Amino acid sequence: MAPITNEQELQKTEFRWAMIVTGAVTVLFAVIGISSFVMALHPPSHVESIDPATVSQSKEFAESNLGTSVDPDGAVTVRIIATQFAFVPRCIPVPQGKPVTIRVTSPDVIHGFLIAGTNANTMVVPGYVAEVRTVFGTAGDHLMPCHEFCGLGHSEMWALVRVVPQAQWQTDADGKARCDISR
Amino acid sequence: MTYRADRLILAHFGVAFAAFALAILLGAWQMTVRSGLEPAFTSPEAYFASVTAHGTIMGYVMPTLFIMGFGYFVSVTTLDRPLPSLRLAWAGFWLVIVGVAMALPAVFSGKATVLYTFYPPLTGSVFYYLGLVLVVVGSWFWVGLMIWAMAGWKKDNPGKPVPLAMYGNVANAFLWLWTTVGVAVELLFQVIPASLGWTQTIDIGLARTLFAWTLHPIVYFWLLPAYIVFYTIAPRAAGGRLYSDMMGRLSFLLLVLYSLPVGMHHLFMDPEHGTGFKFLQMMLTVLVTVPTLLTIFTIGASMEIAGRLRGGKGLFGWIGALPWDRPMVLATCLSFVLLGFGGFGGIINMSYGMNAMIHNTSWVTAHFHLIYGGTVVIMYFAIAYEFWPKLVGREPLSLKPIRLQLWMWAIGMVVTTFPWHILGLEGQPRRVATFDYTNPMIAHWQNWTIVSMIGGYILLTSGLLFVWNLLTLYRGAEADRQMHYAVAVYPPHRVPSALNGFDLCNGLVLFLMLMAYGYPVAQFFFIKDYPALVHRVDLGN
Amino acid sequence: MSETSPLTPGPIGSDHPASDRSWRIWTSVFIAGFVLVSLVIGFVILPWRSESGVDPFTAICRALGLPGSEKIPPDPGAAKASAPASNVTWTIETNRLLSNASAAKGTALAKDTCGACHGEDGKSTDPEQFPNLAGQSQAAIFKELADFQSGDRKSDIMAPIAQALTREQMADVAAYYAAQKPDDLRAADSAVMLKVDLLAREGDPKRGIPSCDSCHGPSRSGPEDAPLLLGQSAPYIEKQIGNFGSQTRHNDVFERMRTIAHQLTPEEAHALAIYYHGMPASN
Repeated sequence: MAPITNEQELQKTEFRWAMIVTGAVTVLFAVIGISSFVMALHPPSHVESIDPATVSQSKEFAESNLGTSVDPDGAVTVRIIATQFAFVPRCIPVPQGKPVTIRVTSPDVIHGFLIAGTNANTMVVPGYVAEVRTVFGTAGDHLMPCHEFCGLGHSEMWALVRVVPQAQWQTDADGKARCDISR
Repeated sequence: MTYRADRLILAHFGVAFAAFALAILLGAWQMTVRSGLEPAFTSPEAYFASVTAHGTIMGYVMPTLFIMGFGYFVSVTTLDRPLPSLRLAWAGFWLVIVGVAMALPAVFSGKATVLYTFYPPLTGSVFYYLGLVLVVVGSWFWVGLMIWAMAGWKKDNPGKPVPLAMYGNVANAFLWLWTTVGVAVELLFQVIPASLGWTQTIDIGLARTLFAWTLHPIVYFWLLPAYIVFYTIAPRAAGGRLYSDMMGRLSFLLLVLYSLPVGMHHLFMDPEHGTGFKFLQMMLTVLVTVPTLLTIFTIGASMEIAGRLRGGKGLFGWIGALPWDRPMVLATCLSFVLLGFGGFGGIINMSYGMNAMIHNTSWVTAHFHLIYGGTVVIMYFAIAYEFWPKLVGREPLSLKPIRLQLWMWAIGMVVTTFPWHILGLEGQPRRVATFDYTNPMIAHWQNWTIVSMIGGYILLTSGLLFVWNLLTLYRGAEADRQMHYAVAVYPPHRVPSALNGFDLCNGLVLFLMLMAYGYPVAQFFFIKDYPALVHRVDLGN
Repeated sequence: MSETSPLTPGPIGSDHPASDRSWRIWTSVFIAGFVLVSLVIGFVILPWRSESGVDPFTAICRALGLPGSEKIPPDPGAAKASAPASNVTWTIETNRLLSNASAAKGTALAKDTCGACHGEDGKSTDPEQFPNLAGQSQAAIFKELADFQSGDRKSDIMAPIAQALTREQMADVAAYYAAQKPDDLRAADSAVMLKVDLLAREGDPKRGIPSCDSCHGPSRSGPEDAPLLLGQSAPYIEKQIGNFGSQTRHNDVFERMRTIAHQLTPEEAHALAIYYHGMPASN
């Protein structure tokens, strides 16, 4: 950089830098825009409310209705309760390579989960049903820890997502799929 | 410099750093627990109480007190006039102290284990929340004094540009005032009534939104003193001049403007908001990189001036010519490098789509530790090394332990946070005390966690060395107590009123906050939503 | 570089009021424009792009997250949903019922009905069969009484007793026993093998078992209705863990205890029972 001879020179340099900044910010917009929309993610944003106090009495989140179910039209829905200090159910089977809708809510405090190695991630806020739509690519077990502090038992709160290859995918007569974490 | 407030400033700094020393000790212990090494006192009660204390001190107590002391110092030294009211300044200080004395015992007795984000419906002892309120109210005294001081100076010096450091300082005061609105409303109208048993339920969506209002700009409140020093102290310390005074003003203004309407990027993964306002706040978040990029340029150019004045030649020769033995120059450089790493992580966090990979993982912890510890606190060290001799009139015995301390801090930060980035990408959640490392899926996490624990102990050593360096200062030789700030290459004679006051700035902030938070806050009053029952964590005896 | 170089007035740094005004105007225009463009993209273009055939009004409603703007998948399973594990819900009404309860009113009931087994002072006449109630959490006593009444928890002795009570009486007697002073005990950590001590205080991340204390200990932060365990007799605790593990007892909402009890070995259940049986605090 040449020694500064006068203030206008300085302003010219500043202006050039401002152009570089504008360019950098534009690139940033592009990267973020593309990553958000080409990847077509569905963050839980449809604001569906539910009374947390009576979740335990609801039909949709009744004990028998939790877990993975395949509807007659083939749609896969996973219903999960995040409660102190466990996910119900703790083992969640899902078919590989098929769209899965996860519906989850909390009857008590704020929880959250991520499924390691995937982009499934949501907060679970009492008062709302969080809905995550995703497709699981790799078969095998994925850890699903609670990722928001929910009380003293928080560290032990995790579930397992078992991605099953389509050939081995099975459901019972009611369309429910189950799995077990061996002791 | 005729007017001083040395005892006031030293009181603020002293308490801030004492609390800080305690908090880094807790941090190192927490990392040991997380590594699965089962140190003494391991239990969920102790771990989460410790996390609460670490976050409360590092988030609310240390920076608030430090910034208040910093602001008082800048005010008396740049305006060369006394504070408008020393008595009110002490009153603010004692309010903060009483607040801390209420909050911390509640935390350490396990009655407020809600972490520093206190996400309701988890509800702890009311003393914790009241203590935090007092800390904030005490800091509002400081806000008022800074605005008052600048207004008084401007009245006596019509048309003259406010000294740049003071302009940045008042920018931070206004930023803090705007920032605290969210958490103050949440605490006063939602959390404290619940904690006192006056209300049975809390609207969680509203509480999270109000907290997000505060949670992002608070980082810029911590950061602004570092930026002020980049512009007004570092160029002089390097032996040169500030490239452009106007860039400084513009950066401060933009930081206030763009750090506020963006907090909802913390709620990308929340079910209580639609995509529209999440998207708007993401767009605004991108703009907050602008003042940082401007600063990198201006400080880089200022340093180049200094390097060339010292005989540096060629395209990069000036870098070697800089006086690297001076703590301020070294800290500025390390701070920039760590800001670069932290900023990169932040770009992923604020990205609507990519955030899903790392939301609430160790990646996030890595990001804000790099920004807070790496960029902010390292400059707080440099500020203390710069101001303390002026406050007590003593020179440091040697610069060597000071440089060692700064290097250790920067290295400790890298060693602590780089593994967290890796672990975050692999899905390690934050805020978890213990992992089952015998599980083959996550067994390899343990090695990285242990590496970051080692970083934690490097940081602890560095922090203790910092305290030692300040204490040994009292044995040093008599020092010059006069404070000098960097002068711009072309000192401004007049500046546009928009860059000499905050009318336009506050007007634009109001507009942006209404656009960004108007509907997201208002929706909770008309959509059909259900509050959650208060869930107490302080039932035990 | 010289300090005395002439200062040429430029667009920035001038004192013309005109430049001052243009500053205000252009910053405001830029910011308003930026917000407007972002709103159009976020509220119209993107929602419209993600699902074609949506009119702009629906797109905006969807981006606002207005309830009902997205269709919720049908739920065929809901029709044959199982009955809830317990019909006690933690609502404002339940809270009010408990906080308005009167321990004094509960005294008579405790003397006339409960005292014969659980003791008038809450110290059981036969702790192996009937739990101690002194100092027990009011919410826990109330919830168990309500479950005995509804049959969600089975007991030939308790069912008829609970069925004769109103909700207010349950809250009153629960308040009475919660106010009684329990024996001064501490967990029997020296009496059992170290592993169970850790399970009780730290939990086991390997099996996803939270520490027992996180719900049942002095600094508990778990579900409202979790009872305190310290001071119950060891055989009673062991039996309850067994009942949860075998699904014989199932009034724990969302299987919280059944999931945990199912994973405990008989040895662990036995040791935990001794641990929570406790020992004199002065010992």
